[in-house]
Amino acid sequence: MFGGYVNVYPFFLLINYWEHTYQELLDYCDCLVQSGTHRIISFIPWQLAETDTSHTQLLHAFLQMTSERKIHVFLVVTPELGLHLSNNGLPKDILSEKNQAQNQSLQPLIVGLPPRAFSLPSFFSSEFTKRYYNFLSRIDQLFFDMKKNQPHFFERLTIILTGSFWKYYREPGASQSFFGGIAGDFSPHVGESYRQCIDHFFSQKEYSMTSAGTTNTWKTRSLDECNRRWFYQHSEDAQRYRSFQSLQKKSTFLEIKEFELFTPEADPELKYFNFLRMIYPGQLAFKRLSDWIDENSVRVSYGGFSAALPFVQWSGMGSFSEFSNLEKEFLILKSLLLFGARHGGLILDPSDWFSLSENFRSRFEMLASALKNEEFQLNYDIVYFSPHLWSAHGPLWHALFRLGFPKIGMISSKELLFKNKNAQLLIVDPELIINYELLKKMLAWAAVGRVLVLPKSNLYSKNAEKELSFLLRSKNIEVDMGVPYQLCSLGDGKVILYNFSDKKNNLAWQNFIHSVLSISEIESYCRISDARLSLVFFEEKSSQTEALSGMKRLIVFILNPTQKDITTDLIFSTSVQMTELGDSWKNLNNSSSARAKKFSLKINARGIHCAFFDGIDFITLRENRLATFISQETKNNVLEAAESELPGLNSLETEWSEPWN
Amino acid sequence: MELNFHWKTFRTVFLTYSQSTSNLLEPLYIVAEKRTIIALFSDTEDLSDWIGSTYEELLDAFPQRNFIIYPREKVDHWLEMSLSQSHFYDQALFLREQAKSYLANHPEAIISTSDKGSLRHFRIDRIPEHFLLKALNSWWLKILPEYYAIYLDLSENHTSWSLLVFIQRGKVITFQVPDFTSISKTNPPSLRQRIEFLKSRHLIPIQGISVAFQQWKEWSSLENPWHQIVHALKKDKQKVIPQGFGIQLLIRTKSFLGI
Repeated sequence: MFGGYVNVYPFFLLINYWEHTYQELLDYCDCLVQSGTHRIISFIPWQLAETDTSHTQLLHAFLQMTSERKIHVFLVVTPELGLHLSNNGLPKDILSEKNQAQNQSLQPLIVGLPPRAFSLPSFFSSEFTKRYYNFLSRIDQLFFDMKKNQPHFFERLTIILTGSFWKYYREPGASQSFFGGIAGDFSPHVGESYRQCIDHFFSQKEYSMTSAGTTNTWKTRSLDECNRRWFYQHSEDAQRYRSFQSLQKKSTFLEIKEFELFTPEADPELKYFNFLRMIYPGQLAFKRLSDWIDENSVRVSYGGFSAALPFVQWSGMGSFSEFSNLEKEFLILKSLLLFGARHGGLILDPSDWFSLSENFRSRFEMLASALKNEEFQLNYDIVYFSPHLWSAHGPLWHALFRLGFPKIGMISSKELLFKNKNAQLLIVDPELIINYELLKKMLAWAAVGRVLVLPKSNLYSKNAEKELSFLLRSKNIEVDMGVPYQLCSLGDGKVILYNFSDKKNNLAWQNFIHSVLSISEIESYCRISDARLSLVFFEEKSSQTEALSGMKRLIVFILNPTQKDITTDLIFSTSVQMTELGDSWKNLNNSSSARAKKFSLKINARGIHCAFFDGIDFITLRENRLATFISQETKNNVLEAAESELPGLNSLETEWSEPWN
Repeated sequence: MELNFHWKTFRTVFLTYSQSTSNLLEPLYIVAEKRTIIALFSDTEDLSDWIGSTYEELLDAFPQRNFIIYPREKVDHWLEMSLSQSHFYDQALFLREQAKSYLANHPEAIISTSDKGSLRHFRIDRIPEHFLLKALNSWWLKILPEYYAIYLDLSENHTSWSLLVFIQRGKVITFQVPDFTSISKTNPPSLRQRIEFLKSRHLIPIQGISVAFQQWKEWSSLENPWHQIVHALKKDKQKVIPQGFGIQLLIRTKSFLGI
């Protein structure tokens, strides 16, 4: 799991103090306390904080009533989407055309959510950023003044900083992926800072001479895409860092947490869906939103000073409120499983939450508590290092996502990599610029029994290139299972150098990922016979004796996002015993099944089925995976040898699997 | 705090969507870039797996269905133009108009297995505008003041929704949930008291309407509910305040003439 996190309860109710009258707020707070909720989240809207004098009074009153009732308040300060305010609470004057963010075709990036569709401002516009940091300073001053007179407000107050609009600087692509289009802001504001930043970065000595040529070669048009990705990530990181600092100029006493807050209904990939919804009301996109959770939950960002906790906000401003309760429950539970497993969670509107059955709510709370207390864990064995978290990635990523989900985390910050204690495998994106320092750190990380997968590219700095060629001089094996790669030993670990080519088909990349997973001894606990369903599995926290024996309990959630009931087989490589979930995590049904390798289960439409499995020997599982890999390798080598000895023999055209098996 | 553009309440009060009851299968609505599908919808099934395919492939898979295809560059242009509208409802109406006029002028955008010109079968012409908002923007314009507000009070069991909608020349300018705590903190004020309070606060004519939520929803689902409204008004005269001769006449004319 990625380190540096402080556990936060994975579920918040959203109560915006500025949406309600004083009396309504009082009623809400009393109601929440009665229902046992002691934490809420709220946004500070930029425009109201700047212009409305009654805003400060209302915030005071709100904090007074929550403080009296011992309710912990989390206040989101950075602008985010999905707010129940025109233009999302941004001051109207800074949303002028000159401050707009733009896509590659120089069109505005539009967010089509009520109460008003508007175009996103650019974080590269000096006018916008000046106002933004002024706003943060104003908030800093506000809390500083508040502390003098009402220090008790801060006993249960946490300030939240988020990644804001950066992840929405994207255009929809013509693919199923939520990150299929071109990402980034292409407005005129970007040009100058991009050039300056790139000039500065490549003026470092180590970029002066490489296989790519001289410094100027790094800045050629062919590398523009790579450079832009680096630049956008760098700019986002810098803005997060500065936001954090702006809030701590005076209010050094503030407890600040960093979130990556996602509003699915505002996702750029749903831009045209939102358009169709505007002209043909009533359209919903359940499956798209269900897929959205998968793709976004794997992206792990780093804030100004710490790992950002990923939270998803079902705002109620888009289609979510119009779903049936069954559909809402599915999306809510899936969000909890996938975001909660990464120390994040979800934010819900109370009207949506209280419309759900009491039974569902109590089971949800039990699951949330179990995640908070880390009673079971989703281990991220695989890390994908990308230059930009919100950009489209190639076939390598798609193959990894297909085969490794949900055990993957995509990162774009090396801080996150070196804090991840559990990762076994690091795959580096072919478009990442790698300097000497980064390469050395990655090699050191791999040398302690891990696997590092590096691209053969011209994006290594001069010194990094030297280091890599030094590594390649050691003994290595050349393998070609669709994608050619070299396998080298490095201490107790391994390094794989792969040849990247867009021209390779998906099957070749899947074969490559299969072999990389085998080399990394990353086990697949079980598989499912119906591709419409998906699996999320957790390992139950084990005692020391259990951990030593390699025996742990596996908790499997089977998700059916379709409108039909599906009967499926859940297949394990060894015999295990299944226990169905009872009323709580501690209270399992007594009727455990007999030990078997295959279980037939019926998953209801829009349902999430949960079962516990005992008897999985994780150590044997890893050994089996390695044995499979060695067997495949031997088979390949034999075929290669046969081809070279027997002219006319083509292993690709001949069906070898039968006699081999 | 009184929020302008209180969308959640506006949506509850004015936007009712009912699934098509027609036996005809609704068309598949598509946004495409060149021939590749970027977004699509169908009333009956989730077809999101087709995103990224060409619409010829979709046509082969669904030969019995009608298709309506909007080019991406047009949609981008309309969306950009819609930014000049002041709120989401107006933006949606604007986009709907653009889409309608595009379909009328570009027959190639409709791929139909039956009568190609039968646009009336398609929902874009059948999306009912709310009966009240439609009436306010009809010939009533000539009779009603240029600028006024309508206060709606809808209740059901222990829940109630209230919305103040500001109308200028028949168009919704803004809407908010009014705060009456300054006139009565304990007992809820009567409808008449609330109207008087709003009049004195905003200094414009205010027409109050108080209806049971369920009844309002029933009316809202109909294209012409004016008969039912007249009937309900006869039973309970407190539903419309103030209840001058003018407003009675407007409602009755709508009911009897249907215009």
